[in-house]
Amino acid sequence: MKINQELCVGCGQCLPYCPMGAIERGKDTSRINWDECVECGICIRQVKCPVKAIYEPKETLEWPRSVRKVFSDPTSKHENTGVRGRGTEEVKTNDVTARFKRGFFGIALEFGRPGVGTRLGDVEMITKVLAEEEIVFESANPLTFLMEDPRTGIIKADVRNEKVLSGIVEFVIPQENLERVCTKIVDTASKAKCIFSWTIITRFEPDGTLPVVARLENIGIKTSKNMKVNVGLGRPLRED
Amino acid sequence: MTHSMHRVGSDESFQEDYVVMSRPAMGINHVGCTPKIQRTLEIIFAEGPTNIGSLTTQENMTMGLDPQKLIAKTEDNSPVMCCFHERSKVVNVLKRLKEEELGLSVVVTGLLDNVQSICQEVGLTPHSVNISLGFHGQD
Repeated sequence: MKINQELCVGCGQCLPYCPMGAIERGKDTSRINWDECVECGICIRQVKCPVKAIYEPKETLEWPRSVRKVFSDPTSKHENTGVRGRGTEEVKTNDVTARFKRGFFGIALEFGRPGVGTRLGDVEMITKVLAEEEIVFESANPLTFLMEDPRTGIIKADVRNEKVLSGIVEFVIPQENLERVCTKIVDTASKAKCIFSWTIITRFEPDGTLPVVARLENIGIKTSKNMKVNVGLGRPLRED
Repeated sequence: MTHSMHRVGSDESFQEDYVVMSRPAMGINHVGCTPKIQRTLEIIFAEGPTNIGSLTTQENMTMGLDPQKLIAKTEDNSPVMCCFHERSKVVNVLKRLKEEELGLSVVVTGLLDNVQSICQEVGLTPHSVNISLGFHGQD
């Protein structure tokens, strides 16, 4: 996004709206820090600019800058997933897709958050380590699409420095690999160049229990009691 | 409202705190599902959510979202995202969705014991779950 310097009156009303703090107030006008802007579009959608000075320049939609918008603007759809937002439908539709089956766990790591963001190249600290573990990254995930080779976890050179609000790495592991993979992630986490959150997706056992919780606690990983539960209303229902 | 399972707080603060989302699965049951999404929204609005957000109209209830406008603008891939602060309202919404067999997927975020208790009351078998493992790294 940019602010038309000919129109801007420097009122500063737009400053608090930017989740990246990328709008800077100058002597007479405000400007958007082009390198820090993640193209989330909140300024152009929500700010009632009195002179309509905020605009989306054509460069926003040109490669490689265009990846900023698709990863940061929840209203834009990823071309390769058809889903709005940063990731996939994950657990939300698992009763219909059966992406995460019994005997397997889904793991998602989200790099960056509103307020801090991430450079796409920064996710490599973890994805390269996971690739060494022969993890198969989710093919329908937008971030996998930006890897030079998903078998290495290396991000394409032309998008490495692009800053986005966040990007999600997703993959599935056989349940017997849980401790090994999770320990690897925790051991590598201290070297991460940006903040990341992570989650695990699992089926409930037929008796309604979640044995994964105790297994994670045994290796020192605490789980939240506040969980996102697919209640099984989707049809056609796919058990596995 | 994204990443509802990463919210942090005491068990007490989550006691009457539920995020409800519904959507079709793209490529499986999304074609022609607009009426089902619209009906889901009608059921939710009839129950009275604490808030509802829309990617379509770029609004939520605190910004004066118009339910009829949102329903009219619904498309086959429109996700439904709302929150409730009363357990009974979540029970009523799930009961109606089950009775009407709309077939869209629904996730409810809340304390696991509470969500399982709601499912039991409604007669639902929870299918799968997304669990937060916390945060790492540096900003």
